[in-house]
Amino acid sequence: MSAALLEVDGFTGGFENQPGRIDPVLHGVSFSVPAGSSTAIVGESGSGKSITALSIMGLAPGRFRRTAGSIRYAGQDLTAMTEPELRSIRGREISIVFQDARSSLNPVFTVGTQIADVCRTNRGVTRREARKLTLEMLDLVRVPESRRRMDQYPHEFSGGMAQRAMLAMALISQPKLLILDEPTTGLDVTIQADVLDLIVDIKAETGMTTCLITHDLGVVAETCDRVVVMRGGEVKEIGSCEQIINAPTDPYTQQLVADSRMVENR
Amino acid sequence: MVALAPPRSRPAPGRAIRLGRAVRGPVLRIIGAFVVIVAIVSITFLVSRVFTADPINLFVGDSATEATRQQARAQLGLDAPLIVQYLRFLGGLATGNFGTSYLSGEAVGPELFGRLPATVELGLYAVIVGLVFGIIVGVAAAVFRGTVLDAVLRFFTTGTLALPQFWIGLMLLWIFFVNLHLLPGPTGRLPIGMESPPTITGLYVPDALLHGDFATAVAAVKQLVLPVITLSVGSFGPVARQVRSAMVESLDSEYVRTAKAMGISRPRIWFGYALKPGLLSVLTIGAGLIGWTLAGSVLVEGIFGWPGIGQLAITAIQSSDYPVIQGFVLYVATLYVVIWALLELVYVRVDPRRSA
Repeated sequence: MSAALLEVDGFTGGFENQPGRIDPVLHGVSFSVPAGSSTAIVGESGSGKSITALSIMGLAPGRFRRTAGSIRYAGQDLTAMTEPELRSIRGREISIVFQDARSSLNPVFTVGTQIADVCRTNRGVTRREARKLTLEMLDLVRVPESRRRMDQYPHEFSGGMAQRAMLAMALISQPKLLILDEPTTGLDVTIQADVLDLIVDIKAETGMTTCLITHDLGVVAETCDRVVVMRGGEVKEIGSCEQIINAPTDPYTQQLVADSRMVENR
Repeated sequence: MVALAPPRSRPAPGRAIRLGRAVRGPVLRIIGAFVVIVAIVSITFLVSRVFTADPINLFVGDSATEATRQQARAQLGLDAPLIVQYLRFLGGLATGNFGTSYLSGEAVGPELFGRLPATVELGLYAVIVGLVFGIIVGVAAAVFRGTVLDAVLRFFTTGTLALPQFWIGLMLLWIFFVNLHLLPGPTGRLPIGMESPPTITGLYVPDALLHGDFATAVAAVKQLVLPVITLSVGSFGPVARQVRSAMVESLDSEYVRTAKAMGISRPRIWFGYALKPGLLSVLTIGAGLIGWTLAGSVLVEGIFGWPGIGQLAITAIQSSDYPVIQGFVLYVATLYVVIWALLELVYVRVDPRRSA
């Protein structure tokens, strides 16, 4: 296995809901994302997977406090970085696709403007070039009638189409690591499959490293080669996709796999 | 078995109908605006006649006989029943005749519009200054909320809301004119003895600049500084507070989180991604403030000897100069109706969700 692009090492922290008292939510979370891999972080809601993802981006909510551990990206400790240093990593090196793209996009700017803005910020191209690249990217993520669509506002997009636009926004600065935080939750099953196919295809084309965060083992089986299972703010098991699904060792993982089989066979 | 009737297709609307539909909205709106203006003017007519003092004393001395008073009344048309006066007044409005001022004997229309540029020049700059600083301070307070800067800005903003405007005006004069001699005294739009520039827009600063008369432009700007600051304080406070509360909300939103995650620069997030979604509420306040400012400020105009509409109005009210009062009210009513109509158009541009 190649060297790890991202290493989360003993990451521990909690919410400071009252001054001076920290309610812990993450307990020594450790895992790595090897370069070129597609790693999944699986867990139920409240398992700490999303807060881990946000911490990687340095975007954890204001009440969150890290108490121990580090997150290293390509050897640099992200937790020790200043805000301007983080900003040069965000978008350019690490990008993220959030759940519910329609509320993650700004309601008062056109979709094209928002994507082109990201492009201009991170790639230093002119306004005209950014627009051209945006158009190409929207075509790549299979947004039909991209030329007309890019001048529309997020509320004119369907959920699946907005998620494609969000993906285009995350991809336009050609990041090395793409975090996908529940990218298909809340979408219709058929659209969910389309978006997942798209992610797999793009990954195959670009060789980008991905980190998929989901509660759905079915999604993992289709798209990932490595799986990290989380529960209650702890990592329960790490293994290859085959091993986790066919021969889970941790009791919680066994339960999770059995449950998802049951859903499939119903 | 029920036989289903074939679905009847509705004929496509013809061109006349489509045009009618497109025109209906604006036409209804214009009619509505017209009704509002007529209603306001009518109410003012009645109220001013019922509740203000008898203007006849303006024309005849206190010792005048009842016969002289009756004669003066008849000359002014004030002897007719109220309803006849009202109809005459409406008839005059329809032909563009606003009456003659009891006080100056001049036609109300020209008198009002002659003073408009002074009020507009003062009000326009004051609104711009108030909005710009209000937005900057509101954004800064929201971005640095909970810090010392936020507390200082809040103190400052609340101060401008709490201090009476006339006091601020007098203090500024006392500091910058009386003590520091940095700025000219309250002599109106230009220092005494200075000629006003030939009229193009009616605003002295652009007019002087257009004529290449820099000395006059500088003098006019100096005259403007203190009244503009005093007047802008009135719009600065409300705008700053509204911007802060709207920004605090949107800074915590998912779309601002996205913008951060994509590496967008901080000024772009503050003044674009976070500010614009909250701008709607700011615009609503701003529109009210523009109306309020352009209606002329009695206090500020009074303190600085500014020959604007506010001063004209207060004199007219004090002396029951009915035609001028009515002309003033008509101006303010029209002003507000036009501003709110424009605001509707701007809304859709700022927030596309409103057109859906």
